[in-house]
Formats: sequence, C-alpha cells, structure tokens
Amino acid sequence: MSSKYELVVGLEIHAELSTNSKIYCSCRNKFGLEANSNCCPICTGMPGTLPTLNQKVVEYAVKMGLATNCKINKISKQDRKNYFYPDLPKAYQISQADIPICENGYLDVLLKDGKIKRIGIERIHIEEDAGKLLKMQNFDEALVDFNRCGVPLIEIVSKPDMRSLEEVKAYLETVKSYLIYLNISDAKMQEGSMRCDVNVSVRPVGQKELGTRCEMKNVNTFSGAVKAIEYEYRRQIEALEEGESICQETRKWDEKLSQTVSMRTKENSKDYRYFPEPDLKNISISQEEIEKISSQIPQMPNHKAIRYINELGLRQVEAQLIAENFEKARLFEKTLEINKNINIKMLSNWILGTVSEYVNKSHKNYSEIITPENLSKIIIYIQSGKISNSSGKKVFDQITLDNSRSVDEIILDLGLEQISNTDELEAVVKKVLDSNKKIVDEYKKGKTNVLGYLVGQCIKETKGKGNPSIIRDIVTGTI
Amino acid sequence: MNLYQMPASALSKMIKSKEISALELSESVFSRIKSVEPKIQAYITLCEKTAIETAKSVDQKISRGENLSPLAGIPIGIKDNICTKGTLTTCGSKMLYNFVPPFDATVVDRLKNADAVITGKLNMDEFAMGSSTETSYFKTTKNPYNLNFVPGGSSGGSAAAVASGEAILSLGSDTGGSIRQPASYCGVVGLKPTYGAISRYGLVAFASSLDQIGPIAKCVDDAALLYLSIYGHDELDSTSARISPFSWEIENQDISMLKGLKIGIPREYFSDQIDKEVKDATLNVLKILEENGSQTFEISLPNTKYALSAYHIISSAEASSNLARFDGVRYGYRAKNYKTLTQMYENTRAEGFGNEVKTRIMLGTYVLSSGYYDAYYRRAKLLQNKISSEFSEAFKKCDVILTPTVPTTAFEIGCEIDDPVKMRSNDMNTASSNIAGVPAISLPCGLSKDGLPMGFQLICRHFEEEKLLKIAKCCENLIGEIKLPNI
Amino acid sequence: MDIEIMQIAKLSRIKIDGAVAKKVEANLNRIIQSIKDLPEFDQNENFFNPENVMQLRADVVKDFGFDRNDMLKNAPQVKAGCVVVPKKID
Repeated sequence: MSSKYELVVGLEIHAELSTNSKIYCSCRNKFGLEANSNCCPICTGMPGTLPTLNQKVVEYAVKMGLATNCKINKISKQDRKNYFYPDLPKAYQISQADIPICENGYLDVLLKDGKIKRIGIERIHIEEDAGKLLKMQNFDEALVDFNRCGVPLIEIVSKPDMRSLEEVKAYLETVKSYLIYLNISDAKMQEGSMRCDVNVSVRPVGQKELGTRCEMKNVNTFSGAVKAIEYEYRRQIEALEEGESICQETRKWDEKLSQTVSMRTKENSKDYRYFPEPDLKNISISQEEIEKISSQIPQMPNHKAIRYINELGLRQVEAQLIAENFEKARLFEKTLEINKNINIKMLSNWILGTVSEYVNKSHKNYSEIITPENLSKIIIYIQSGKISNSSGKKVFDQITLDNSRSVDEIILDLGLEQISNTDELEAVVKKVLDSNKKIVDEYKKGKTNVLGYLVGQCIKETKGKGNPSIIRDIVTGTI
Repeated sequence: MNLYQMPASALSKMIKSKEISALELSESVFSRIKSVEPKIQAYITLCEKTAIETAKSVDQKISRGENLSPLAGIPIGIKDNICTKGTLTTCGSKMLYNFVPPFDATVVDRLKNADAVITGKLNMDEFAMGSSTETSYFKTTKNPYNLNFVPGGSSGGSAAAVASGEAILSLGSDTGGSIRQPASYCGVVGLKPTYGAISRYGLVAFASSLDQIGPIAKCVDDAALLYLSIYGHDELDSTSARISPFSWEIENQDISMLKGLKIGIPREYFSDQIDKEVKDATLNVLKILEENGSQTFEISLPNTKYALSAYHIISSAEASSNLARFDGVRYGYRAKNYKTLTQMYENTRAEGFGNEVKTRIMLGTYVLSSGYYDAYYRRAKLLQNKISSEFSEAFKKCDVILTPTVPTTAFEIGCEIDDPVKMRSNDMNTASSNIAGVPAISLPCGLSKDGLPMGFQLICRHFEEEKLLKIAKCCENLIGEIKLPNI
Repeated sequence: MDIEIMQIAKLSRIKIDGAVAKKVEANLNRIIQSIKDLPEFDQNENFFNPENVMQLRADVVKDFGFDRNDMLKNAPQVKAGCVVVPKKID
C-alpha cells in the first residue's frame, strides 16, 4: 500500500434474515426451491395485493441494532424505492429511507496486533430482497425466478471508518459472527445470504476531507471484497497521480477479470423517487420490547475474545477461534465454570483440537457432542494422571457414540485408568530392568536415549496402564 | 314494480319469506341487463352462469331453513378494479385486457361468504383515473337519465348499473370522488367510507393513501346493508382499522334526531363554480333540515382551495409508483415489437396505457423526481395535514358538514375529455374528504330542469359511518325519491 | 419551470415521440400551473405522523394455495416454469 495515500472504506452489508416467513407475506423463507414454486400473489406483485410486515423482521433488526450499540428508533417508517427491473415485481422495493429502525452505533473489531478498532455504524434498516434473473449463454432471453422476492434483509451501513484491508476483513468477519451469534442470519456470502456493496475513496495522508468515493456492487465473497478494494485503491491513486479527478460513480466488481468496471452512466443517474410507503403504517417499538430483546443478547464474540485474552491469558488466535462460534464458546465457558482448577491451555487445545475436529467431521453442534461436565472430567483426569491423554481421546470417542454413558463408566469398561501406585510400579520397573541388563549398562555409560525404550517396556508390562511420568521417575531413580 | 327496480332491503325480506326466489330476482336483473345494456354499456364482463348458480344455491339454503345474511341472493355488480378470482379484472385498461386474478379481493370474499350474487364487472375510467368512464379502453357508459351524457366516473359503470336496474347494488372505489360524483350524476346513493374502514386488499391501487371501496345503492338502507357486509379489519391490509360494528334497522329512521343537529355549511364549497341549480337544490335540502329542527350555520375550511392540488400531487405520485408494475413481464399486455428489455417496457407501457393514465404517471414521476419532491410532494403532504386538522376543528362546532357533491349535473359525452383541468374540477368538493380520510355520502336531491339528477354530500368525522348513514336516511325520507330514469 | 418531458418519460418507462411529446408537455405544464399555487411551508416542518402505527404480522408460514401455474398463466411468455424477458437491457 502506498504511504502517500490513505485508503477510506465504508461497507453496506445486506444480510438475509432467517425468519420462518417472508417480510411482507406468509410464504416460506427458504432457499433453493424449484423456480417460482415459493411465491404468492403478494410477493409477485399481483395487482391489488398489499404488504403486511413480519414482526420477527423488526425484532431481528432491533437485535442487531442493540448488539452494535445503535440507537433504536421507537417509531420508524418504510419507503418505496422505485426502479424498473424484471426481478422486482412491483417495480419498487420497500425499504427505509429517512427513519431506519437503528441508527448511530459502532462495532469493535480485533486486529491482528491485538489492537481494537472501533467502526461506526451509520444505520441498520429493513428491506425486501428481489428475485433472480437467470441469464444463460446461447439464449437471447432471460428467465425470472421470483422465489427470493420478499426474503427479508437488513442493510447494515458502516461509517467510512476503515483504513486498511485488514480492518475491512476484520469488520466483515465480525459482522458475520454477530449475525450468526444472534441467530438471525446464515450469513453465507457464497450462497448470497450476506452480500456487500463497498464504498472506496483515497486521500493524501493528513488530509481531513474525504476523497470522492466510488461504490462497488456485486461483491459476493470475502476475498472478492478485499481484491476489489485493493484494485480500486490502486486505480484511484493512479488517477490522482496522473492529475485526473475521481468521479463519483457505481462500479461493478468483475470477479473473472479481477477488476472493477464503470457501470453505464445511466445506472449512475438513477432517480429512485423515494416516498413513504402508503400501504404500511409506522413501525412502533416499545421500551419493554427493546428491553426484552436486549435481555436475549449474549456477549458478542469479539468481546468474548477480548475477555479470554485479558482475563484468561489465551493467545489471540485461540481466543478468537473459540469465541467465533456461540456453542463452542459456551462449551469452553461452561467447562471452565465446573472446575476452576482446570488447565485452561489444555481445555483450549481440547476444544480447538479433538472436539472441533469431530464437529467438522460430523456436522453436529458442539452442544450435541459432549456436555461440559464430561469434558471437564476428562481433562481433570488427564491433569491428575488418572488417565493418559490418549485414553482421554478414547473416552471422548465413546461419548460421541453414546453420550448417555458416564466418563467413569467408560474408563472402567475399557480399563483405561493408569497405574499410579508407586509400589506396584516399582515392582514392574525392577522386573524390566532385571531382564534388560545390557541396556541398563548402556544407559549408565551415558547413552541416555535408551531411557525411552526402558520406560516403554515398563508401560508395555502394565498393558499400557502405567503412568508414564511416574514410571520415568522410578526408572531414573532406580538406575 | 319490477324486481330489478326494488331496493335490496325489501328484496332481502322477500327472499327470506319465500315471497320470491333468489333465482327469480337474478333472472329479473339479467333480463333487464339484456334489454338495456346495449344502451347503457355498464358492464365489461357479465357472470350470468355463476350468478344463476349462486342464486339457486341460495334458494336451496332457504329451503333447508339455513340462516342467511341480508345480502343472500342479492345481485351485486363489482367495479372492474376489484379482483375476482377466475374472472377477468381489467381496470378498464388495455394493459389488463386479459388479466384473470388468482385470488378474490377481501370485499369479494366477504360478499361471496354472504351468498351475494355477483352479476359481473363494471366499466370504469382506466385505472380509476377520470370522471366520465370515457378513459375506459373498452367503452363509455351512458347516463341512464340521458344517453348522450356521461354517468360520471370513475365508478360510472357501478352508478349507471344501479340506476338502470342492471344491478341491485354495486361496489365502486373512490380516490377523489369516484363513488360520489357518478352517484350524484346518476341519481343514486354513494358512500365513501372512512379511510381504513374497508379492506383495500384486492383493489387495484390508484392512490393507496386515498383509495376506498364503497357501496353504490338506490337508497341509504341498501348502502348501509352493503357497507356492513364488507367493512372492518382485514389482516391482509395493514391500513385497515379495527372498528366496532353497529346494527342497522331497515325501518323508518326517527327524524327526531335532526332536532338540534348542528350542520356546518362550508362557504368554500358553495363558490361561483357551482351551478345555480345545483346550489339551489342543496340549499333546499338545508331548508328542509332547518324546518325539522336542525341548526345550520356557515363554517370555513379555507385550505379547501388547495385540496384539489394536494389531491392531484399525492394521487399522481402514488399512481406513478403503483402502476409501475404494469410492465408486460408477469401479466397483461406486452408489446409485440421490442428487442431489448427497455424497449419492451417503454413500448408496452406506451401502447397499454391510455393518455390520461400516461399523463398522470408522468406527472407523478415528475413530482417525486429528485429536486422537485420538496416543492410538490412534501408540500402536498403538509397541506394534507392542514386540511385534516381543519376538518377536525370544524367538527368541534358541527355534527355534520353539508355541501353540493359536484359543481354541476352530468356533462355531455366528449365535451370535457380533452380538457384535463376542467375534467378535474369535478372533484373540487369531493377530493378533500379523501385527503382528510373522513367518510362522505352523496344523496340525490332532485332533477335539474334538463332532467338530470343532482346530488348533495354529507361529511362526518372519522369512523362515524353510523351517524352519517342515519342522518342521510332522515334526509332521504324528507326529500323523497327522484323519478326513475326512462331508458 | 418547463419540464424535461423526455427525461420524465424515460423515468416512467413510457415511449413518446416528438409530436406527442410536445402535446404531453403542454398538457403537463398546464396541470403543473394549476397545482403550483400551494402555500410555502417551513423547511423544518415534517408531514410524518408518528401516531399512525400498525400491528405487525406474526412470523407464521401460511399456504396461499397458490400454484406456480396460477401465476404463470397470466404471463405473456413462459419457459421452464419461469417468466421470460429479453436478456439485453438496452
């Protein structure tokens, strides 16, 4: 990145909400159904039909607003955004113009160096999604599928507060994690349930005023967003260096060409003729409703990660990995709660290692796999030497097969308990040393690397149950 | 008297007492249609087959002793901008020349549940924009009192059908006077209910914040019966209100309620633009009311002079957006010649809409476009608030407001169609109640010397339909009926 | 305050040609003259009425009994269960 110019980025993120029904009609809100099989007279804009607003959509928007420290407008309204396109059946989109549900919040994102950057949230408003225009090669016509019409969206508009690609990435990831944490959206960019428009401008370092911005539409992946910004940053600097001015315009990110292209000037001179939606009255949200929703909001993943680092001494990478998933973090915290003496590092390794591997493999949820009680028991037993680490994994495997079984029962059944009784182990060591005199001699002559072999023989003698560290101590003490 | 000439309130009793069958009534209406429809041209679509079936099923229900609603077996015509499942709904436009809705409007649903007989779909100005039915793509309806004259509009078919006996009752819609003006021109009763009193679900929108469906009838009792069968909250219309019901007795209204009734006469509604004959007929009604103990006094609603402008701005703005969905993609007319999407849109809309509609869409686009919104739309909406509060103030002093419905009697076909500004002055006394959202009713008050009906208008507070109808019924009793048209 | 009729027609997606444009423009100007007499208001005055609130719909899926063909049978051109439009925009 150039040191002379500063990058300024603002994002408009659209997230599809995971409600049961659509925003303005009672159709299923479902992805991937046969074309035009999930629509009704209302979402296909038949003459005479009217919208009715889904209460859950408002609730979800408020949830996101409260989580991002927004002011919630107790009264907000909806407006029509007018434009013609085949995937927009009414030829207007019901959105919110001057009074959105949420305004003026912020989000703290955790950067790689451990610093926290605060990104302002301008507003969060609700609106309806459009259908899909299917264009195929070798066919002069396009097909319209209206299934997606009326899928509820929230648009989260940030302030132009991001100054680097890292900040953009961290912000996108944080927003995504919020949506998932609040359980209000799938937030899958690949599937289109989270999309973003990117506003980019550059300015000479030190300049106060913002440069002229370009808006980039059609950014469908995280990496696409990053590449588009990189491209645009360079393009704008080049233009400025050559003495050209940047014109405010909408550009399209072309994933294949890896470049942004100006959309025709017509796109840029769009006049949406916003006016208040006369088919709907105002949205009212009471203080009680706000408080009720507020009480349902858990600590957000970025704040959890910060707490894990500061209070529990986890490394940032581990802290963020644990915090990114609500159930994962819950398992971590609950396990920790059960026994304060648990080794946090070991717990973190277990959750990020064995447990997460199983989650990824089985596509099950963290909460379905193992209870905090069982996980705590396994780790505490390993810590105390009651079982070995590999036995711990065996216990875990058994629990994933049948989580009604207790840890103790499994240990007993599989005979996994280690022998830590020194008298018993001393007898074993004596026997092994006696039958390996040659090797003991080698050890004595300084060939200390045979120790592992001797300890191994002892463990073998105990059929794997001997506590390795105790055996080791006895072997070295005896020789 | 023929059955088709009788009021629904009387017919309903006759059907229930088995004095007549529902089938006889429907047959009477359809034979009347056969004889006068070629002259009147009130209908776009007739539903004789299903109508006769419904009538027969009503008779069966009666023979089984089932309890039926007052509208059971009553032939009712529906304005063609109200969706009827499986029946063509054109809005009087080439744009929807072949549109068959897959659903019923809530009002139609309620009428069907009440076992009403739906006779067909009635002619109207294209997308309800007009005052004469002359902007209809299909035909111009004739005034039953003089076939050279317009029936008024936009619900001209609805008013003419009731006046000529081609339907016992009808539904119209009123955005700036579209029920009351044709009712006045055709000598029938037309009620525009309070905004929100009747569900708009299934009414093809012209101006969503002003449109209301309402009854057109031969008498106040009939209007009340129809209103009470369709009013009230609908979960499919967020702007529909939860209102408490009232009962309606089809007996002589006790005119003692007129004693001490405070009637406001807004001077702005009696301007020089009102025909002397119409003004005199209205003043005569006032005289009769005074004789029966009402207090009448002048009031002022000074912002009335802006009501028509505010109406045109708001209605055109909303129409430009509401009619944008007619683009040839999903239903209705699509142009034959186009290569690109934009050409398809532009040709379809140029060929599918008539001139009046296109003018209003462009006017609406203009007043909402960037740079003009504040000058027009915002100002019109602020005026709307002013006009509403003016009405509220006036109703602190009076119970009801009385005005002429329309400045004139019906005009001759063809004489105003090319003069949009003059055509719009038809709405000068009616548009303000749409702007304020208050209920208003037009009642006949005599024939002019040319033999054309004249009407007057009563306006009450929001959701005072019961009071409005009761006062109207008193007036009707005192004024007496007007002579039926001779077609 | 002459209106740019071609631009308005474009925004409205209504094709008009030269001769008609003149007539429509004159007509629109006449109407605009007749509605421009509105009184001025304070810049800060807002027509938004906060009391006019609505009840929201419960988030429940309902089957309209609406078949795909119910929608498509009104469409001017249909293919593979979809409505067909030209691919090229302009």
